[in-house]
Amino acid sequence: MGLIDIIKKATFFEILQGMSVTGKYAASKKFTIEYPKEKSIPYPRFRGSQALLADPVTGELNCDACHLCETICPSQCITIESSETPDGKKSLDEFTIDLSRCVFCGFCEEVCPRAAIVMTANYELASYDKRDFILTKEWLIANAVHAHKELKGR
Amino acid sequence: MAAAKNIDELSPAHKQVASHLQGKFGKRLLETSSFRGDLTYVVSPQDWLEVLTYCRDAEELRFDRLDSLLGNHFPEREDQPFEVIAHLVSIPHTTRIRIKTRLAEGETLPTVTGVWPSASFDERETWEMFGVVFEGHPNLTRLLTVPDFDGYPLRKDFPLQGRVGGRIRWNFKGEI
Amino acid sequence: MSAPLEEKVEQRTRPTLEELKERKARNRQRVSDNAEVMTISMGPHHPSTHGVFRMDLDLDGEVIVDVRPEVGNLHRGMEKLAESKTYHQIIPLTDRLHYVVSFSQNEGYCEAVEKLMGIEVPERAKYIRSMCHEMCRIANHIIWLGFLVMDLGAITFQQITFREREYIMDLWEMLTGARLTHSFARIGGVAKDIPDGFREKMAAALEVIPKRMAEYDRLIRNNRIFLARGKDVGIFTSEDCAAWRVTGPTLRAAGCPRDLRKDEPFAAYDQLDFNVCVEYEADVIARYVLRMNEIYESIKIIKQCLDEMPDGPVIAEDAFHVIPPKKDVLRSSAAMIQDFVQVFRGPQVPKGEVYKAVETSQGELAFYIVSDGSPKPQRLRITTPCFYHCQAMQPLLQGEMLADIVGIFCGVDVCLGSCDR
Repeated sequence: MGLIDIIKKATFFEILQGMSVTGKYAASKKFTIEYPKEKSIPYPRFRGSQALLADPVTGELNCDACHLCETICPSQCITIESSETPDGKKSLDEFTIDLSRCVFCGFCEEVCPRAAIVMTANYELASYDKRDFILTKEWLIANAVHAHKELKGR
Repeated sequence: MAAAKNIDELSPAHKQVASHLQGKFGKRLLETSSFRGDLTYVVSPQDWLEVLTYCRDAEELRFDRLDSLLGNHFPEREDQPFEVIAHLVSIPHTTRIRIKTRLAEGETLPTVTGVWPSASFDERETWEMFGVVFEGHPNLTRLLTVPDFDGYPLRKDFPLQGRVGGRIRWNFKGEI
Repeated sequence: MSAPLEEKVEQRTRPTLEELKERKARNRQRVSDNAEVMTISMGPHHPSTHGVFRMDLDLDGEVIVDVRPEVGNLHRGMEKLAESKTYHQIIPLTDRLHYVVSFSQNEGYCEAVEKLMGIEVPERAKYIRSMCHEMCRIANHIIWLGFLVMDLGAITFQQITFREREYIMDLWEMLTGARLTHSFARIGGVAKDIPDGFREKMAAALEVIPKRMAEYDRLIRNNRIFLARGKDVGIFTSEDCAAWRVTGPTLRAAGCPRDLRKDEPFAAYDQLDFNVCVEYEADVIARYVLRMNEIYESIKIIKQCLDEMPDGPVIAEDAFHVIPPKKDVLRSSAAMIQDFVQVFRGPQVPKGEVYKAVETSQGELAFYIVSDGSPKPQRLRITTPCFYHCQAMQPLLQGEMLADIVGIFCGVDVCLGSCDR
């Protein structure tokens, strides 16, 4: 051990070296965002809560009640009830998503053959009441306002 | 699984392993197969410890690591429904091998914790999930489930949902 | 890029196996024969066990005589659950093993299924997979360092490492749509191509991370507390590693250049140029230096992937095993029929069994799949590295001091979600 090493040890050189990094950051700009006041904007692929899209012109739902999303869902959180109209088309009666089961994997959006169900940018889903986690058809249609913009035109 | 099908798929290193093991054990390897380049041997439970120890110690094989040891249950096989499968890895030769044995209900298997200490957790898991007893294991107790769990969960006749295992309560009223 | 850390950290040596064994035996000597043993239980809610892990410690004063690790508090029956789902539906399950390296687990599972079904993955998808693997590795090693230093006493450090991880998390959100549970790999490729603006953002992140790592280095490199608590603590030789199936950085820090990316190449690693980092001292400091060097290697690999990535599809065109990409489903009726068949009936699988191991940032993760020809696996066994790392606490901790538990436990990098499955 040379003289320089002894001096370094005695003067706590390496601690001071570390503290200089700390000191630099005390004066620098903050990195975090204060959540309720400013919100982070999700990227276009972000998978938030689902929404049911409707045709912008006629206002009719895109959904054909084909049960694909219900079948692929790994956590079985989607329940669909459908009936047949007199002219042979399937109509969607109930569309319920149990949000407390949903794992946000996005498979429902991926397999949908009509771009009817999409994942949105809505990530503020906390609630005091468990019953709020049962998303009904009306809630999902209303949630379409949060849908990612590039998906709406499809 | 027919004997020795697709042996051509194997890499040269695996072929060497196969010929060496065939030469050493011959008829005692009950079945040989290879699927997608994985070499599989089936041995009888009496030969289990001997074959695995030889695989580790022989200079040409040097399977110095037990990659995983697990069980499986085939209820459709009436006489020998259980399988215990060991995957071995040789770090110096970078080869892999799979050795299986088939067991009847209630049949026991000698432990390999003396050969590879890492088998301890694996054997405990296999015991708690399938009920395969490993003789000579120092501490054969429940590992992943609760100590008073009832039944062997990974057997095919164990239900996925329901009031099973003895500790699952559905009525939490007044308790939480 | 700054120089690798090997030259910077003082007093790095290359001890032989015998020397390491001797050092380890010296630690073991602390256990006296007529010890007055007291048993205490550490965990499951101890802040430094990184999850719900419990150890029964037999202590003689402050020296650990014996350890009995107890796992299973996070057991979710994943293997039983997987037997009731089709091969496609299992992908989100594998996210929930280790929540920092979700993609590596998705990919490992998909590699195993592709081996079973005999699918050829497109080149572009392979490069994206390799890139994502390395993103996992960077994020994991960075927060590993934060937790290690936090366990050794510097609490602020963990917060500044989370800042750097945030760059990777933003990239994940941009690429996959989720920050933790990506579900990004698919059977036959990956879910989506890289989006516009991703390359620029990645390049910016890869500029910042080495600078910040140099800063970390200044903070702790020569710090006497860090060196005193890491040097010759928790020695685990390569022989022990083989006997206890300890893999990954702990094995490489013991001088064994075993890396599945080189030994059994998966994804695009056989076409990429990188080195396997090796350290020889087998203690906590060696694991630290090794992981930091691996981050520099990962940065190199990601740059290569982005430069050399060929054009083409990101998912295989295979009508029997693959869910087609969404834009094809919307446009062609053949793809829509394929979509319906895959969802309602599942993939067509040959009978057989496969075992596939991949290198994640903890160690070797392996999937063993038995198929009986139905669209659901007959048996899926997930062999996670953390399961064996928890078990190896017993030989690792014997003869060490009580205060060193946190450093050693964090040093081998254990995640209990991955251990208990």
